[in-house]
Amino acid sequence: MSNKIELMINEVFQESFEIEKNQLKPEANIFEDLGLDSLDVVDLVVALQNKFKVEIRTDERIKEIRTLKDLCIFIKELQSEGSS
Amino acid sequence: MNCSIYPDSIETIIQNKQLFCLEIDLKGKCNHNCSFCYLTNVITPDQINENELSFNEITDLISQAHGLGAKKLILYASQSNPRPDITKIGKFIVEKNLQIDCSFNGTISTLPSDLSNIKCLKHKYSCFIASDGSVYPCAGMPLLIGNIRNNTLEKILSDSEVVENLRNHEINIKGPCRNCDKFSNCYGCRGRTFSLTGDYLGSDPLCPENQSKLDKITYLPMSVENLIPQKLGMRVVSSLLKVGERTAKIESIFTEKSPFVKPDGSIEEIAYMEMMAQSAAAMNGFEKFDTDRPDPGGFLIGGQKINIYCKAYIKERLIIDISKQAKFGNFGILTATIKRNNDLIAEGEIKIYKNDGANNEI
Ligand code: SF4
Ligand code: SF4
Repeated sequence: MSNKIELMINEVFQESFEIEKNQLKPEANIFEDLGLDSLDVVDLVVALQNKFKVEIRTDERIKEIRTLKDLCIFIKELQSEGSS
Repeated sequence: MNCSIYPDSIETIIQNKQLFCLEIDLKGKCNHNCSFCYLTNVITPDQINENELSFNEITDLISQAHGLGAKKLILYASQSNPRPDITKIGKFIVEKNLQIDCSFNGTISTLPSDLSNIKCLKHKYSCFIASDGSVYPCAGMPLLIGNIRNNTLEKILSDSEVVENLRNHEINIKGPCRNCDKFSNCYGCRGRTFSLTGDYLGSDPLCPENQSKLDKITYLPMSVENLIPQKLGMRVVSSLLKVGERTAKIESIFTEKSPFVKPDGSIEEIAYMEMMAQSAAAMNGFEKFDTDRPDPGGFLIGGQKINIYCKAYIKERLIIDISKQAKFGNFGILTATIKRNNDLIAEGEIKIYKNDGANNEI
């Protein structure tokens, strides 16, 4: 399951931000290593919403996210909240 | 009557995005006849026949409401043709230690005549679930904010700008109500205000206090003239038709005078993104219009995934549907479609910057 989420997150970064696959490691920092800026985060939110069919628009937790791994955990949390 | 039972602390409920009360339509009617309530009939009985919530969906919903702090459940059930599991549902509620109030549509309901005691404020602690799971702010306000089949009640309520705006009514209600002595504890009947003005945040046009100030009440559709800064020539949208949950509908009609019109009468491609941006600005302008909310303004950062499918011409009535997708910090993304009747002319995403301090919105 988490593998699938990871793959889908990687797809988002490849499709929406044109980031090379080899840069997409779980510990990669989305700002420092992958080069996103605060202006990109809102695009990331939209892309994740579309990919995972979840709503994150008002979720404060997105502010805490630094690495791809953080993102993966966050999506997992969201999915379990949705299905509970 | 149920409407007079009031939670102890609305502030706590609002702060924690909780609920005190939940109303569920099990295909019946409300006949409480609260003096200030516009609609004694709940929204759906005639309109929705299909897809009723199952027993499990209803009990899950009740558990969710309980988890959000609800103390009271109001069920609208049909007396002549009740759901076969109505007793089981009742039992489940009692087991949860929730107060239950069941309203059967057996008696004749009349519209209220006594409006002197107007107050409501129900949306601060309650919401209404139709028989198909649609969520509305109250039974008298057909403004859809979500469906419990797609999201949890908690998520729907915390994501809803309609609920948030009603819960903070002091800064959001437009017009003469703002200057009324009772305003801190009253916002009239939102249901009828929405039905009559199209604006769920307008001043209540049927309140006796407002009768001498009816000209100050805002009605939709409304010209965008006072909602966006662009002057006539640069304006590419005409009027705001409707507002909903993070959405708005805008009309645009180009005349031959517009600088965005080509010699053959068709509209310049560049105008489409501008229509989307001005629609977003009009939606935002309307939220602030005639309130004390500051509007520090914002600007368009750019458009993305803008697709233009066919040409539009002067004098055609174009409809822009705009929807807030996400926000982060000062940035927001909205999606928009531009249609002529049912033909999709263009669609796309726009990114907006808004200098709104800590409490950012798109
Ligand atoms: S706002 Fe809704 S609940 Fe309140 S009085 Fe009007 S219809 Fe009734
Ligand atoms: S004017 Fe508005 S605030 Fe005053 S009593 Fe009427 S509805 Fe309530």
